[in-house]
Amino acid sequence: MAADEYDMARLYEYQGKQILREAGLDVPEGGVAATPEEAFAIAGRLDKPVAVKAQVWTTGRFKAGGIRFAKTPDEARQAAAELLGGRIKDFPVEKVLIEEQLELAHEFYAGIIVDASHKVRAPVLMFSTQGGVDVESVAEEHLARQAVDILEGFRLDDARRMVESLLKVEEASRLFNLPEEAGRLFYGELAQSLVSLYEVFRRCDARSAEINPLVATKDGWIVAADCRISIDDASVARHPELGITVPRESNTPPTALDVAAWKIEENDYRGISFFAQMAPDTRGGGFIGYHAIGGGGALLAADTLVRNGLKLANYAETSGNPTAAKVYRTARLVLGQPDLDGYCLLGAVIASQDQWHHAHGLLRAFRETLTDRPGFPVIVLIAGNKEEEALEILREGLSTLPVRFELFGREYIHRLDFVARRMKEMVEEYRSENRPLSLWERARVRAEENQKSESDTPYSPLSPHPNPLPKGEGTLTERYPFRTGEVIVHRQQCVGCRSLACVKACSLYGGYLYRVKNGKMILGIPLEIVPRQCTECLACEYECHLRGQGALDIMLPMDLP
Amino acid sequence: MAILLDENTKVLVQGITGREGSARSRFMAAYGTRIVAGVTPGRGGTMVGSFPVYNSVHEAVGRHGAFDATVTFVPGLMVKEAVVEAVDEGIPLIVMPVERVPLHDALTLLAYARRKGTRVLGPGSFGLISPGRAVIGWIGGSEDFANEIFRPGHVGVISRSGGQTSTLSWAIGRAGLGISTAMHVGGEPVVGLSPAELLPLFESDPETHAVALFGEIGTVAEEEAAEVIAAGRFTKPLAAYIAGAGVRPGMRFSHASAIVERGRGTAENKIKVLREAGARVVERPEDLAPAMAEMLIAN
Ligand code: SF4
Ligand code: SF4
Repeated sequence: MAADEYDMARLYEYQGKQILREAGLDVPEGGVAATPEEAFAIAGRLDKPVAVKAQVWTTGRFKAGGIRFAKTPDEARQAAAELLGGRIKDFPVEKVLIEEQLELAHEFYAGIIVDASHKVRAPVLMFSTQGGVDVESVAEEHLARQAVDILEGFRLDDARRMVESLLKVEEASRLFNLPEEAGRLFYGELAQSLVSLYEVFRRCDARSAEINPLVATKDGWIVAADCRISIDDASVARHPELGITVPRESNTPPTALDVAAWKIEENDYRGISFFAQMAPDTRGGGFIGYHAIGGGGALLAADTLVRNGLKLANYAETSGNPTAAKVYRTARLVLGQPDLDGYCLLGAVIASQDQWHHAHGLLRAFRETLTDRPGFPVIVLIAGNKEEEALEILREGLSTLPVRFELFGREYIHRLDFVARRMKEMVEEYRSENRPLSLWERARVRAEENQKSESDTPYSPLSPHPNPLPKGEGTLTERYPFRTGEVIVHRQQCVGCRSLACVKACSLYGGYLYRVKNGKMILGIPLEIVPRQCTECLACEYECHLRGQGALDIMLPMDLP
Repeated sequence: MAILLDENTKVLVQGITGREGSARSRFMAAYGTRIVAGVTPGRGGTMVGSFPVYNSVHEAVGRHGAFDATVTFVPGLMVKEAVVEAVDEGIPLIVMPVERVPLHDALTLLAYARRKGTRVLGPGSFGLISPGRAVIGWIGGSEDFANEIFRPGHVGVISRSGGQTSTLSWAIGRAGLGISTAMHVGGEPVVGLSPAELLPLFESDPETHAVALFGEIGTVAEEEAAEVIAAGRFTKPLAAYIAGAGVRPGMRFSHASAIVERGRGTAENKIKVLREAGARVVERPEDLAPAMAEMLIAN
């Protein structure tokens, strides 16, 4: 499989060509169609033989049947009807590009990537006289490359030198059977198209940009016949005009959960949350939700689970000092997958961040999803700063739930096989028990009964967020909005609370928001600075429910598909 | 001695008034780092703990004289300007814990720093620590934790994985050894200081007797490190582990990156060239620290 099939923050061919055109490059005449009728209209307007190209993020479209040729508008409509709504290599075809067919004289290749090596560490422009094929297979002598000093830019002279190094002016004239003067012109055009490509690369914050083939037509034009542009993940926020939903790599289109996961990341820049659904359909069971901390050990740990016979519904990760709220949202997505038979968090890393935030975030997600799943297997391996405290919080919190759980600390970072085997055993025990249907399963059964027609949807949404519980309607509630949610205190229910657990929790784990006045908890800071000061550690809610009177709830809105 | 950082290194904190900036400054100072001042545009004249805040690096330098290092706790979308400022003021080492720096910004700031001879650790670096002396970045967490995980000693640690910097250092401690300096080179697609540049620094540090490298698939960082060893610019024992052997290569850049790397960048190739250069490469991460201990005893 070609490497760039994993790119997700990628532009469709028609989007890329639009941008190339704006930068002054010629692209084939045409238009994009979402229906056969539109295809018919575009082909009619072009009034010549056309290519109908499925707009999907994959290479090898031609071989996969994603490109058709049509002589008449009727044929174009027919081709579009066949392609639209279908799939090319697993990618759904929602649009087709209708373009004039080109008469090729020669195919070139032009591309830019970033060379991260210490010696280069710069964009590298590549040009080849052998385009239209897999560029990896082109021999070195037909490939010119040049690292670009990003502070200086890439100029026409540089481009000319690159083109010249592979193709002499006389050769160009001969190759295309043109008089020398025309050869020279044509030559300049080639160089100019490299410069334009570099401009596009810079303008869209691209990670890579390729035109393959860059075509010389028989009537002497240089045209970008196909293009692939992928945008740097971290720059997507700068380019709302590109309409990218999930800026990351994957070998499948984003699922609804993937999109929801990206929103978590987009709305909160503290720490990293990553989620990718690996098995969008987990019916039949035996899948576990997988959650890791830290990139380095995460893949290794996932490999260990798979090697020990476990099936992973997803790959998720929270690292780099995320808030408890972010951990909660990520774990909530993991646990929100249907029909899971276990949840496993492997933080196979001595993490510098305070791990009790992970504990609070996880418990919030567990309490929301596992109260009605007796025996559900949970394994958490967590290590690093505040490791013992985190394990203790988890032990206490998980003991209030009907699940089976095991907790591991740093001594097991290098004994992952043992942990994986325990997970496997717990999953098997759980599956062999005569367990009641989970909320999920019940929801699904109901949904399936309700809408047999739409059996395409693998499952229906989970039960709504159980918090906040409506408490004493009409009584006094206080709301303290923070950055990604809000604290709600039901004052009535606070009366007589001796524990003042919320106050202690906030000063130990959080941001010193509360104070005690006349034996009562009060907000100790102005409401406006709550968003700055609240660290979203979720400890006040947890402690209030465990040791206080359950008067404090935290709303953490998220889009659950 | 350690490399790049010790108790005398005079450090500036850019973005000191933010959540991370202020919390980390306190911890770094408690650990022993010589934090002198901070910068947040628009917040000049205030204090964060005992550290004065300035509007610009220029102002801070004017008041306190030259700095040896700066650390940027500035969001990725804005960090380029902060780095350019620090480079312009002649600060020789910039530590960038920030993640998700736009790629073109990273390329630009690294090119700018290179032109002026400034060293950049990161972006996306957890930081560096010279145990018992000083720390810059996230690494270490809290004072107690840092003391427990990072023991002073004679092994240099270079890691391409953030979390594994601590994990490996902890394992090295358990193997009865200690650390001279440990650093995470950064997890972003392009980063500044690379193993190839760090090895010669460790070579000239008399306190470092050997180096442990936690490598990863992708890019050619380990290949370039092997070249440095083969060229005789690093002659001390080196033990390495390469993570991600089971992962398909090329998940990051497009098709065309295969042309640049031409077969390099895979775990097999990294292991091969490192071994050819004379390094010891272990198969499992847990074997790295014991291998290091063995090599040092043999030496
Ligand atoms: S712990 Fe809960 S019940 Fe007690 S004072 Fe705090 S919010 Fe009220
Ligand atoms: S109010 Fe305090 S305890 Fe509650 S989430 Fe915010 S910082 Fe944490």
